[in-house]
Amino acid sequence: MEVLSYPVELGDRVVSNIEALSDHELLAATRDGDGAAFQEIVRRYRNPITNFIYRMIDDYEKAVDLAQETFVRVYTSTDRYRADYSFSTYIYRIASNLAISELRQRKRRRLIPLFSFFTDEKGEAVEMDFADERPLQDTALIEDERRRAVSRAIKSLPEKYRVAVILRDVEGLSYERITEILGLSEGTVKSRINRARNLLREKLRNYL
Amino acid sequence: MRCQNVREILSEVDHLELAPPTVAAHLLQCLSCRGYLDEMAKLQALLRNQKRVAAPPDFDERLRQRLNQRTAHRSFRLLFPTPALIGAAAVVIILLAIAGVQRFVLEESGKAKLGESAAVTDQPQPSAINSPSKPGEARPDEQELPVPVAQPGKDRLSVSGTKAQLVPGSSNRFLSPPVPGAVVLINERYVTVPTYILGAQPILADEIGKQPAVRVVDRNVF
Repeated sequence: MEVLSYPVELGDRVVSNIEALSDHELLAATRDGDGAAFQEIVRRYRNPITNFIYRMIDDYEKAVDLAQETFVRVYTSTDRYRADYSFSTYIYRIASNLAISELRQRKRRRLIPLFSFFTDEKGEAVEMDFADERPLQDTALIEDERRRAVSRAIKSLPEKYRVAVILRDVEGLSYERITEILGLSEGTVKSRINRARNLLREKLRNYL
Repeated sequence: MRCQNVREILSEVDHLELAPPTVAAHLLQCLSCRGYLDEMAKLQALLRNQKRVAAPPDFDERLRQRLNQRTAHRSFRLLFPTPALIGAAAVVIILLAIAGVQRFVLEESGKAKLGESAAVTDQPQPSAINSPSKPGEARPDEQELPVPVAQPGKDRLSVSGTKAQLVPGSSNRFLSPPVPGAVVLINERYVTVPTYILGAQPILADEIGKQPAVRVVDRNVF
């Protein structure tokens, strides 16, 4: 079998042509064996996908690993790709499935589960993460602490709320796009985002 | 308009201008909902302004190596199956083994029944000794063993263990619930046989060659 390789350095003319192509055109070219087209797909999406997965699992090294796996799956599944949805929907769907799978594996590996001891009013498991009520002393640390608090608060959300609110409020995707990525109705997506925001508001009220 | 409804609507609209006029009217009067709206706006700004991480500089190089490995290994996947494939193969083998054992048990059980029945019918019976037994003629046991047939909707089968007794149609069907399965005659005894056993051994009566060990009297008595 021919070992895959794609050019890293491209001539100016080729780069300019490739950059003008749509995602669908790039994927079609990748399917035809154009390594440069795939390189362009990676260039467009490596940072958003890495950031999205990082926000989901709060582990940078693993996020990079899963982002790479996302691109591997895109590359090896070009024949199965259907152009019904936009390519970004397709790649976010792969990434979110990988991230959720990782979260579930981590939950199983956990020796003392913090889930299931605490449930919300709907009976769904919520991870223990109480709001930090202590006053912040040093203003220089506020920003850093705020970011860490947000990360912790996001991490404490149940995965179904987490993925929805990250796609909406961190990645800035539209409701329509999120419904396509998650395969849910718009009502369900809005409900989950609302629920996630309310949980975050409770946890982060000291920073709002 | 209730605060809960207002907050649900606010969570679904990106801009306050998109909310119905009733929501804006409520906000003018409700301090609590204005506070909620303010907190939600701050929360969304906080999430939006979270520091974004980028892929590491060697991302492309690592990806290239990974793709090379993946595509090179793909052709060897069948020679070195993954744990998932091994697991699937094990499940198939176990299912086949269970099916084989089940079939063996059913066959052995059928043979045992045939043997018992043959032993009984090998003993000379008065009616059989004096009856013709040439091929083509009616077998004596078939002539001399009357086969009472239950009347659907009238008769009832009283079952005790594997034995059964046909009760003429005076009994109340509502007090005695029907027994599922078929009524068969085994060595002059009526028994009920579950449908799946009957289906597994339909050939018993033909194999014995002498007296039918199992005779289906009526599949639809009840």
